[in-house]
Amino acid sequence: MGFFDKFRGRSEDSDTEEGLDLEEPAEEPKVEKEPEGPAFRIGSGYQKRLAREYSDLESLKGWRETLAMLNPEDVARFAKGRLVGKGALTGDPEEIRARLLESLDDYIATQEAVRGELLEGIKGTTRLREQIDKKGAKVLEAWVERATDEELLKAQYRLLGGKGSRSENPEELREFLLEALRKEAEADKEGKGFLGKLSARLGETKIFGKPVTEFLTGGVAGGAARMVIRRGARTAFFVFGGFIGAVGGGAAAGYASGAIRERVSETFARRRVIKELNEGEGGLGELSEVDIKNELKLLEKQLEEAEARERIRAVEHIRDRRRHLLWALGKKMGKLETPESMVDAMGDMDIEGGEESTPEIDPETAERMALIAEIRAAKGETRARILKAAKRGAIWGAVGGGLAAAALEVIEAIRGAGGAAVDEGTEALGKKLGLLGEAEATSSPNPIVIEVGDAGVPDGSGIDPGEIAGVPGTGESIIDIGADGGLAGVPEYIPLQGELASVDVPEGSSIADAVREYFVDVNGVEPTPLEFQGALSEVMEGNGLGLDQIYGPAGADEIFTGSRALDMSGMNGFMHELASGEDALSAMDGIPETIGMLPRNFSLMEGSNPWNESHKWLDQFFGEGNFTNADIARIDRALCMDSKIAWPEAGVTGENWVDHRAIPVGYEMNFGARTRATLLEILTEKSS
Amino acid sequence: MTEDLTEKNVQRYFDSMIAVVLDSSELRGLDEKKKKVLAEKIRDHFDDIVLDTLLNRLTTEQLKDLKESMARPEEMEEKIELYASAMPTFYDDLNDRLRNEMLAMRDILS
Repeated sequence: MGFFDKFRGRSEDSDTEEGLDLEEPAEEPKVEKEPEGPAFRIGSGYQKRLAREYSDLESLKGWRETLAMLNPEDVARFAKGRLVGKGALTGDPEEIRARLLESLDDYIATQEAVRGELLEGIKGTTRLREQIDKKGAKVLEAWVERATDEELLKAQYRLLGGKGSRSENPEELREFLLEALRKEAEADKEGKGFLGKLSARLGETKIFGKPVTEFLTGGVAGGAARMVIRRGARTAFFVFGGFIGAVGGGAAAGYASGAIRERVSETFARRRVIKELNEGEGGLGELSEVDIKNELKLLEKQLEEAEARERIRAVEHIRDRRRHLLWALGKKMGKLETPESMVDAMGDMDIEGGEESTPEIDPETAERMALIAEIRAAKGETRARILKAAKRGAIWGAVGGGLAAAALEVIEAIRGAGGAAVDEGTEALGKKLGLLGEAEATSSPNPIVIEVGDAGVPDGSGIDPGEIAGVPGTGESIIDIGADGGLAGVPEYIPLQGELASVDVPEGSSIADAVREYFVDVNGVEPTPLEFQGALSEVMEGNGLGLDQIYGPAGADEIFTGSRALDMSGMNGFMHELASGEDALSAMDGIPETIGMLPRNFSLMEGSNPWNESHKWLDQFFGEGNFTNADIARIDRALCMDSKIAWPEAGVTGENWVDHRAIPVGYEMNFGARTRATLLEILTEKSS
Repeated sequence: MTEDLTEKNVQRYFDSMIAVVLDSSELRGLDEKKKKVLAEKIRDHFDDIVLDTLLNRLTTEQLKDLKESMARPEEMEEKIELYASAMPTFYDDLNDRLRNEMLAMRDILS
């Protein structure tokens, strides 16, 4: 037994003078009452991830079935950080898997119930939409009038664009906004304002053959319902603030002048409308010929842009949509008369929509296209094998967390860890999934595409914008610089980096608060601990501040209380990654989140000592017996530094003996940045 | 064992999507023989999407590597599986595209 094990074995109610119990641990007191509610459940972070990744409950049920079929050992490992509840991860793998599945069942059942309620809520928002549609600018004006200074300061980025139109002075800002609204209202009277255009588009003009009233009630509800399932908590913002985003926000931005208006007006609003309608019920089958042709024209432009930027997902999305529109047009024009001919046409149409001309193709692209064509032309067994391997790989990627792990590896590589991280990660993944044996594991090129938003690479990310075409150290990965959100699954309400480059930390506030508020402002929901830490890290790094400056003796709240401007571009990049499902931090799903949930500090109780107290917390959060003595020594050393006490002072002497009396009762120990970083390091080492 | 189950699961996933398309009003009334023929065509179409999604995400070097290994099927399969398992969002992208395709087909055929 190592010396730290002594302290971990000490019973909590020990009253021995040294606070130690060198005997065998006392028996656990018997629990008299069953705890209320289920003993185990899916962790909140994983719940959000499930909500984000599964567009409907059927596919989630499919995922549950997949888990049920997999090797229990793999599932038990997977459960770590995803299944919570005391003792959730103890017992044999079969037991752990059964708990995970049972908890998933509970989660699915809850979701089924919640879905009905949400639909009701969504119907309520349509009434709000109608109300604002009627009152138009007056509603926005009223909001500006009654908004608090703080709300105005936050909202200016959403509502105002153009040089010189922003201000740190709330009164001035209120004037800017009201003036912009007045101007727009004037323009609107003449039918030239945004509201007029929007009304024309949403009201008088039928969209896809449907009157707007139908769109408002049916289409939005259907579309929003899907978003609810898909994006979980974020959807609350989309659904309820979504009205503001789609119509109100669109109109507000339209009322104002400048860059945002440009962006938000025509294409933005239309795209959003199209997206909502597409996701609603029955949109495609009921399009008019004119609408189809108009949308096809719009898609051509978007396709050109997406291709020029090499945005894979956007290109696929547009081509898919175009193909669907062509089917619809074919049917409308009577060219696809029988069901068989329709299915044939679906099969025959080139997935890439190959008829478009690509006037200037560089040799590299030409080579790539030729390779793709050649592989695509494979028939018979070769085609079957390619497909089988691709599908299996996709499943493995999702099951093994390879997806996120790969993203993390590349980011690590970009940040200077070098290409080895990528290859090692791939090897580890291959071995973990049983795809590579110990002997035959070889490094291999790792195809990674990360979309980081078109406003550039986040400051402080360590990525040199000049290196975006190739990841240093790998030579093979590509960072795909994306455009604004809508085309590649990045929600449009996430601001672009250029739009929201800075935020003020007013006197008396803190960076941590500013980050949290900004996150809520953008996403409409509180960040999870994991998201908060990620966002905070981005901001600290992006502003040249050390992470260890976040957590002081009194925590983040009392640090940097002076007024200062913060560059939020790194955080915006981070939120884009989160929104597009590429959050690197989720590679270690569970671990950082658990670290984030540790209390910021704890006070020493009478008869206790720092080590027993901290270990109690660690055991509670990470399970008993997860740390070796060497780990504990590292953690405790960091804990000392975070708590502003010297290591020897803490009572560890040359005799390896802890004297809790050296620390006064009530002293506040901090799980600060050093402790958290050390924990992360240790847990990452253990999980790799 | 796990591999077989995974493949069965994948198969079931595709079967269920095909069933949705075949259940659209234009196809529902067809006789079983015709449905079977159409089912294969739809499956082929979904497979095209899988292939397209995969190939779009491979680097040129990987495409070369893949083409070169086509003469050695087992090696080729292993490479594809490894590439695909390490592609960020591949599963989600595939899932989204296939689902959208299925819904579009159902809409058009209704």
